[in-house]
Amino acid sequence: MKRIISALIALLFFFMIVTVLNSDSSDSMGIPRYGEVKLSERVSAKYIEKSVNGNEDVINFGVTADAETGSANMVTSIVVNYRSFDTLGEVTVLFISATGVGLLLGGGRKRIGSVISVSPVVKTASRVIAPLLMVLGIYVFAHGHLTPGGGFPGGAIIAAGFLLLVVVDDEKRASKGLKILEGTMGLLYVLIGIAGLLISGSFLSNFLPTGVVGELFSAGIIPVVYSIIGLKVGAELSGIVDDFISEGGDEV
Amino acid sequence: MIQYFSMMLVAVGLYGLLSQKNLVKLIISLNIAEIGVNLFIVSIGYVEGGAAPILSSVSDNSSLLFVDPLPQALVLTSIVIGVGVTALALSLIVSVSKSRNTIDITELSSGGGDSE
Amino acid sequence: MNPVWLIAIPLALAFVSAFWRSVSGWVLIIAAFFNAFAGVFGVMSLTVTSFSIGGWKAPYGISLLVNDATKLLLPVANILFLFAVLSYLRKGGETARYSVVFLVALASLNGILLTNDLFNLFVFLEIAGITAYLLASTGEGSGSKVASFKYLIIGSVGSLLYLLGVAILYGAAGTLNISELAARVSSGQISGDVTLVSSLLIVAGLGVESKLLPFNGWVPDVLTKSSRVATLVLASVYPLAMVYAFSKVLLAVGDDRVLNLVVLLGIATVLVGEVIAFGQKSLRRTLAYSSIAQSGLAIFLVGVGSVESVTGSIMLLINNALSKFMLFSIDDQVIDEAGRDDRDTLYGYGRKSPIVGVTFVISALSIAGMPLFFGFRGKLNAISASFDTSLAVPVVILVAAAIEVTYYFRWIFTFFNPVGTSQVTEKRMLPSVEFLAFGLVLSTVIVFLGVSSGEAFTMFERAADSLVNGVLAIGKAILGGM
Repeated sequence: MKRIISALIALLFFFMIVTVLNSDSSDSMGIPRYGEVKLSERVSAKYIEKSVNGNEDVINFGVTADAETGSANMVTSIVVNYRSFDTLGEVTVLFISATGVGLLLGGGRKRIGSVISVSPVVKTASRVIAPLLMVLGIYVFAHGHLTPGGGFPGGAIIAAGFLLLVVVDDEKRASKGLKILEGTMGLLYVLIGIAGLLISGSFLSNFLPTGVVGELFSAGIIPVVYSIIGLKVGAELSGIVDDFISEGGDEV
Repeated sequence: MIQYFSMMLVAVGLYGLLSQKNLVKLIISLNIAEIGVNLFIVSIGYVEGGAAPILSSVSDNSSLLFVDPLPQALVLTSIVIGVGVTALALSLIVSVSKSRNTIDITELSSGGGDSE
Repeated sequence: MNPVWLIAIPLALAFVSAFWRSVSGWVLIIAAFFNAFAGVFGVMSLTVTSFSIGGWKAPYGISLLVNDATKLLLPVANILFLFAVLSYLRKGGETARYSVVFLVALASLNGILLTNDLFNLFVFLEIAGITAYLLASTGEGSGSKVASFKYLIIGSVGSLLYLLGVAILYGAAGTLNISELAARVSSGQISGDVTLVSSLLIVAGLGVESKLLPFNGWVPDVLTKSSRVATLVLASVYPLAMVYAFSKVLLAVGDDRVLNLVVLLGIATVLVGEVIAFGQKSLRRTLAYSSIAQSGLAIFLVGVGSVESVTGSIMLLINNALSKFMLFSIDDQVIDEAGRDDRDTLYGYGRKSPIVGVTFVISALSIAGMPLFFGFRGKLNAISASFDTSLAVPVVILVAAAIEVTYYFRWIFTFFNPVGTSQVTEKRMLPSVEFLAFGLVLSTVIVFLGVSSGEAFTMFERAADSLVNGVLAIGKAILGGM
């Protein structure tokens, strides 16, 4: 009985949304047909052309200098520059979740033993692969303004490297330095915001020169912020993994 | 098409949330619904024939046709928030299961004491 | 002063206290004091209304909006938070570990009150939600963890639906700025289907945190099982921010049909809340259901949508925050001394501890809406605004108010009953110093606002006007300038 009612509610929800999906018409704005979005009606047109502050020139890869955000990856320019406040919020969400996991589970010094036995081949191979994974993670967040990716996927890859080490080795624990790294990186992000506030009058404004679009050293504070986020997320997710495998912590 | 599929995912997730009793299955259903919503948001930004919104040697100036980058930025944030909430929920489950030895939500809500 | 400081400082200090555990208690006090002072002195004198983050003008960047409503609510929220922090630090103990959570909660609540962007509101709602789940899990034993888990599931579903509503609105309108969306929606540019579906989803999303029926299954367990200080913050400051967010968004982008639905849901919430509160034996559970009812009333007034009703809503919100703070502190005191808070324990408690008794009377009567207290003004506004809807509505509100008055009076009589024998055996008990201080301040405010003449109330009316009309005006200016 409960399942039938739940299924009915879910179906009702589905049909409600479907009614609104193809609703763009001539006398009022609705959701356009899939693929027929007119970008000029949306704020994204100015994000693509980097013309929020009125610049009218076409941006050319590798040629244009001192463009508005200077980042070749337009999604990055939105995430770290135009809507950087959201990213600060997102970083805070991860931070408070990791802290919460630590408060609920962590603190034990013993480690939950693994029931899977791991052969020496796997162990040795993992010790080679894990550093490669971490380098890949660093590459992803360092090039966040040039290629897809950025701080969050980069940090996740780093944490995956740590997870690999934890799975194959029964003694592996995270070092205490992770918490310090996490905290300082977060503090740095807010301090960059405050620096922007004191230098240019608005929180999180881009106060470094933006260079040529497409170079590694371009886009002002964007690579700096993404590196901070990458390291922070890597430390945080590794901390979460560590908390889940610890045992003997505070139990309420 | 993809918009209908993503809404179906959300409907499946909602069904799971309303009818399942196991705590871990509730978290899985929540994740399925979140995936559906994220897919839907990305699909709002698709432009037919548009390229990925990155300036590179292939699409090298900003007057070409790109897909909408804003929904992608929203989804980036939403995925991370989903991860955070899932981590917290799983740690709550571990903590509850250690002290009550059950992960069935009907058994947990109807009282009973803590077994240690 | 740029209001971003209200968010940036607690956040920065939260990161500091993550790795420097030993100073986290002091850091929390510093942040709470800073926010309280900045909230009062920095914000009250602001003349500029909108602050852009990152220097990008709205709607291309995120902007923070400071209007008359936020100028009223920010100081109240920050000062109440400061009081809550000060009263817990003396008790110390296990809740000192949670100071990081309190800091982030402070930052997120200020963010919710200030932001003018739908997606930014989503992010801050999530932050506030996660801190709420953590605060809810602080009680002893596994009951609080189960309550927190249920809260987490319902809250996450809510924010999912809210995000879907925002996405649909963006797909149609192309912008995420609340003021600009207000202008577009009111001028009829957006198709009716889209506004209907997105408003429904947004009501579902924001209604979870605002304790609206049918989304409020989490409230009784969470408010009764979490640890004492967490309950203080969850029951007094959180509803302020959440219901304000509800009003801000729905008055701007809500569809009229959905606002009518909100009226219905609000009334239902009030009725159900009061009726269930009537039968409760424990003071805490009574207060929890009473909180549901108060939220329902405030949301009903938002649904009506006129300047008068929104004035009433803001007054009710503030009154609820002040009074519930005191009521939950009193419940705290009782549990501290006697270990339980059911009717038998409380017999004659007010005679043994007269200060507690008097503050209980003041805050209970204020919530019940008796004349001489602040709550009366809010209730009066509610009833007169409800005549705008149908004739049945004021009747329902009066019935609910009658039930509320009855059970609060029953508790007051229990407190002062001369015949019963209280379980507590000491002759006279003095409550803690913080309780004396805060009780004095809050009681004075409640009585002062209750008896003062009309001038004090123009500030509430201006606040409501800025919510109902002001946001729209800014949006029209943005559209005109584009």
